[in-house]
Amino acid sequence: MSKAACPLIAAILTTYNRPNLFTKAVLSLACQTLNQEDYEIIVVDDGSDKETQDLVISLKAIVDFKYVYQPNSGLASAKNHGLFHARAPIVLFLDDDDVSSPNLLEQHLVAHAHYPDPNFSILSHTWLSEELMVDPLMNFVTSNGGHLFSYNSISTGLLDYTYFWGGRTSCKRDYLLSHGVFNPVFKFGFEDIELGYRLRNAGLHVVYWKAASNTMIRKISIDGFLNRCYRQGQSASIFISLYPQDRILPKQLYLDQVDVEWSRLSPNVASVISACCHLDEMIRYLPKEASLINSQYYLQCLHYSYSRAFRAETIRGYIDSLTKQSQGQHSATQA
Amino acid sequence: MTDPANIHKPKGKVLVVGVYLADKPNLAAPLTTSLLQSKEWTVSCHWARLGSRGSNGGPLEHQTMLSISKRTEKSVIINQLLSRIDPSDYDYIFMVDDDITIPDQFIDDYLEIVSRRAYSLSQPARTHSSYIDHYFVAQLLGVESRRTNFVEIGPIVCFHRSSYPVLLPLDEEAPMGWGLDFVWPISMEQSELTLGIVDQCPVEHSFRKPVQYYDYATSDARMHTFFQARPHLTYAQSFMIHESYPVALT
Repeated sequence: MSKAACPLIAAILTTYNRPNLFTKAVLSLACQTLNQEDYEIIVVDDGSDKETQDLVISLKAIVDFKYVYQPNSGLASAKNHGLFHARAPIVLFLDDDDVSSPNLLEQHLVAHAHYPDPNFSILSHTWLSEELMVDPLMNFVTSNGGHLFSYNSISTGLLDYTYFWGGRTSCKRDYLLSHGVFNPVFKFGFEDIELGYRLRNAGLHVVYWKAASNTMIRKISIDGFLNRCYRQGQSASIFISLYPQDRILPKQLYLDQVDVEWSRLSPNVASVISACCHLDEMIRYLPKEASLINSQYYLQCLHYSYSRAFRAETIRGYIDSLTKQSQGQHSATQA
Repeated sequence: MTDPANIHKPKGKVLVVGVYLADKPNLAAPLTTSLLQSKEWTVSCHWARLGSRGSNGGPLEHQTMLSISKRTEKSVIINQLLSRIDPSDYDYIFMVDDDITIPDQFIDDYLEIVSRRAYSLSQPARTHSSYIDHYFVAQLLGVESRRTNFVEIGPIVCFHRSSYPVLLPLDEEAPMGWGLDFVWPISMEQSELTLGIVDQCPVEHSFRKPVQYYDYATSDARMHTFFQARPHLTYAQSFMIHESYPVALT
């Protein structure tokens, strides 16, 4: 149909009200080692405010990208929207808080040339920016905690669907069009893993390709991260409810027997969260030089506290969503 | 300012054609009721009844123009219905299946968007609870409509009068319509006509599993034969948005 040459890869960048981060993310895509005609950038704005919209649009003067706007409808819808706008045979989904390495797109193409079968997707590496590495929370959630991402445990072989991580994975466009796209019921979190789960039936393999990399540049506060855990818990509950026949799935998502855990946790949630927030705040005021305080011991306490608080918030989100679902079913039955 | 003389004047004429399976459960009657509720368009429904069961004097009595008792292919039946009218009498022709549910005010809301975007061939997106063969046609949330390279052959297709000379009558070499949707975009482009999917007025297609009453393998094989003689698009070429329009926030 279109007479224009088709690019080789599409970078699909979803954004929502993060003008400063978005600017860095899109500029990093403008400076790629690939020839400009070999890639396309599709920006899906998932309902940003007017100020952000104007800034994003003004960047079109510097960076050549296709801008697509939708009223806030969630990540899954935004990604599908971008996928359908893409022309290239390979699509890479990116977040607006990651800065791409200059050879990110080139390396994704190299990886797909190594794995040309349609069912192979490529997972890039995401580094944490140097500034964020010294942040106790960011360091924890990208290393030992692995709540945001963790590459420590990744093997070099083929990975399963649980590594189909949004914001850092590329696929063959045709494969998604034929076998599955993101489920718009997911507004935040699990839209990627749930799609990977469905694509298993179409032979999905994920390959970790470290040479393709980007860098996470967004600092998340403790409150922001707790909220993230809560929403992830909600999405996990929706995911599990979509596949009631799969008894293994809750275990794979570390959410089996949650009710037992919740009955133990719930009386103390407020104090668990409060302690975590205080510890997080306190460590930021510790002297950097040697002191009487054993900082290693303190860090261990902090990590333990983070783990408990994040777990509690995830389960709280899960339980709340479950309750909401059963209330919905109940009123539907009554109606 | 609106001319008072135009307040109750219909925007134009719409014809709905479709085939219902008289021997099977179907939604043709409630669908017809919904379609005829248009306040802005003069709507006529012309159904063909397919099956051994005779007319039961039901709500479709006056809309059933054709009765066929032996198995006949869809495109042949639709063409028979179309041969009885002059298409140029109608601004839009909808071709519908008998197992869909449409939202309230469908015709008015849908054609308001289609007219504004000047889609010559269009269809509503499908709700997420529908049976979906091509993910591309599933409703995109937050999107009013999109200009595309693809409009699926069913369960509901809307032809604007500009497309009649290009697309009608249906090519009977595609008996159940399979494959037409990958050939249409090429003919449409040659005539500089546009295709679109309307996400804001989605159709529910979950009443009956598709391809329940005819053979998948036969239709698939015939589609490939059909493709051999005609230029057509691939999946990747078809499932592409040229432009999308967000839902307007009130």
